[in-house]
Amino acid sequence: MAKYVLKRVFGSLIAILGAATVVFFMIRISGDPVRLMLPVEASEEQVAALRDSLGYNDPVIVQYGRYLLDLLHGDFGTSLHYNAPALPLILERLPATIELAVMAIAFATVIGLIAGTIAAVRRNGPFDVVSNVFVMFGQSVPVFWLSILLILLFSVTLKIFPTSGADQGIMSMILPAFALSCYPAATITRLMRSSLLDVMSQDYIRTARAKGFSKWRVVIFQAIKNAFIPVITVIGMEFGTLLGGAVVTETIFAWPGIGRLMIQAVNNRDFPLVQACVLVISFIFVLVNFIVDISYSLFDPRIKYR
Amino acid sequence: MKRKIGFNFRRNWRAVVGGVLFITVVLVSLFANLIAPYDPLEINLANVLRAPSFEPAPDGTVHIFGTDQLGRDVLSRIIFGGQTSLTVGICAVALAGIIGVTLGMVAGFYGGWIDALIMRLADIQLAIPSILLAIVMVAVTGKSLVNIVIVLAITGWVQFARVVRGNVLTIKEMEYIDAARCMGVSHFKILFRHIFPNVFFSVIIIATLQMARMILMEASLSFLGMGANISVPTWGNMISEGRNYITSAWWLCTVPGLVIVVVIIGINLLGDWLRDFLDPKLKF
Repeated sequence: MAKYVLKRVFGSLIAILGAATVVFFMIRISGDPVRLMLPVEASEEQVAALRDSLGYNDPVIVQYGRYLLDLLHGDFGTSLHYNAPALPLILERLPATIELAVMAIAFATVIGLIAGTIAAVRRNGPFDVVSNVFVMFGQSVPVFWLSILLILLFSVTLKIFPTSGADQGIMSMILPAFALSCYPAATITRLMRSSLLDVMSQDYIRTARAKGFSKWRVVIFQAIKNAFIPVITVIGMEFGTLLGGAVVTETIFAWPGIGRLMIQAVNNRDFPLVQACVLVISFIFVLVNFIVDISYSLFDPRIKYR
Repeated sequence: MKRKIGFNFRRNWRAVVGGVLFITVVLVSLFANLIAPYDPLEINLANVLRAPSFEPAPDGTVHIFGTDQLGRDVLSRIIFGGQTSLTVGICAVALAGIIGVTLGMVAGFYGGWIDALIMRLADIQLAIPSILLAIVMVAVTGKSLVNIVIVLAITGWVQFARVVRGNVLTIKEMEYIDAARCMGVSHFKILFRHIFPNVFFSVIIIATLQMARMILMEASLSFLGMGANISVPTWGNMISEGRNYITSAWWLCTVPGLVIVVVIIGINLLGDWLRDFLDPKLKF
């Protein structure tokens, strides 16, 4: 186990270093990054001044070395737009993104578990058909479109929830969280259904049924626990995706999280901040996946790592 | 036991529904010029924000999906938008497939440090959420269809590479590969003549499922204003523009979104069916 954890730590570090490298070179593929950061009408003097202040006159390899050293010291660069260090700006918005992701994954897990379980137990019944349609829809609907429809229905027409922003506490969180939860809920429902069907065909379930326990009792007390194990990984992975991929939803609902900060930074041509955002999100993403991987053995002692 | 030959609709309904939807969209996009009732770019300020209706407008034109804020026909824009979405989707999947399959085969076949290197690259790729990578790359390289295809392909090759590598690891241990080696067949020929046909089905399945993802990503990018030039109608930028009229003209947003949902459902159904039909053991 310790060896496996070490291996995974090493792999994760490589992935993060790689992501940092990709991010570094990404904004340089266009040739001159300084041109990207300034408006088209900027004068040559302004370009030269910014290039000088960002240290872009040095050879790329020197810049890269300095960039990595700075990262190690916790310096993620300086935002051009806010004229402030990037990391604190991002960390300030991190709680909002995490709150939204937690709520979305909670919705998705509850919906997915219940729908998946009922669909498996009442296989081929009417509920199974309905849940299949839901899964199909959930995995196919563009989240930005769903968000707009939700706003139209619940905010504009029914006036139950605010249209955007985060100033009304939990009420402002429900719509974006629901929109975000649609895809993971569909995935979890599908997986829970097939996983539970797998478990239900095993001997110990038949034994329990033969002992006279009712179907639902066996499902709830014996089968769900085991069927849930593969679902945990997916929940973890989807959670990681939600933390990083909520860009569109955050933008539509004007949710003050990292995703929206990044889109604003892109629109402001504030590339140092964009770099920092991508890097922080990747870091969180890798960290969440690492935790999911390791925690897997806690839930299923049968799994042995090599 | 007598094997039932013939078409079983109950078992294959996904193929029928998905196939019909997908082929319809392909044909409609292919013949957009003939099918679209109006020019998708033609502005008609006398006919602005007309609700969907079969009744002709005062000028005699019929807009069954309504018109937008500039009086352009929504149906025609959707048909031409499909052209963009499908072109981007198909090209991006093809490019991602070529990169992914080649790297996956090389990694699986040669093993050792090449394998380690390619798989680390895949890990790095997976560490950056694809939509973020796509947004930044489009912001840096500029908004054009070619750039979007390249960006999407870069975010999609890993799935191909991983599955193909896994398959190749098993296939290369088989006797007929040993036989080919003994006969002095070159590595290149073994890979493409003898191994590739055996991973082809898996590649087709991933390609179908990736296609849905690419179309959704393209729509998301267009929606965020990171897509193709705004003058080209795409489903994503139609929704994005329609959003400003959400309270007065519901159809501008709703109709293109519904089209995306239907197309993606079609492709996903087809992909699911292919997976069960061609390779029931394959898990993603």
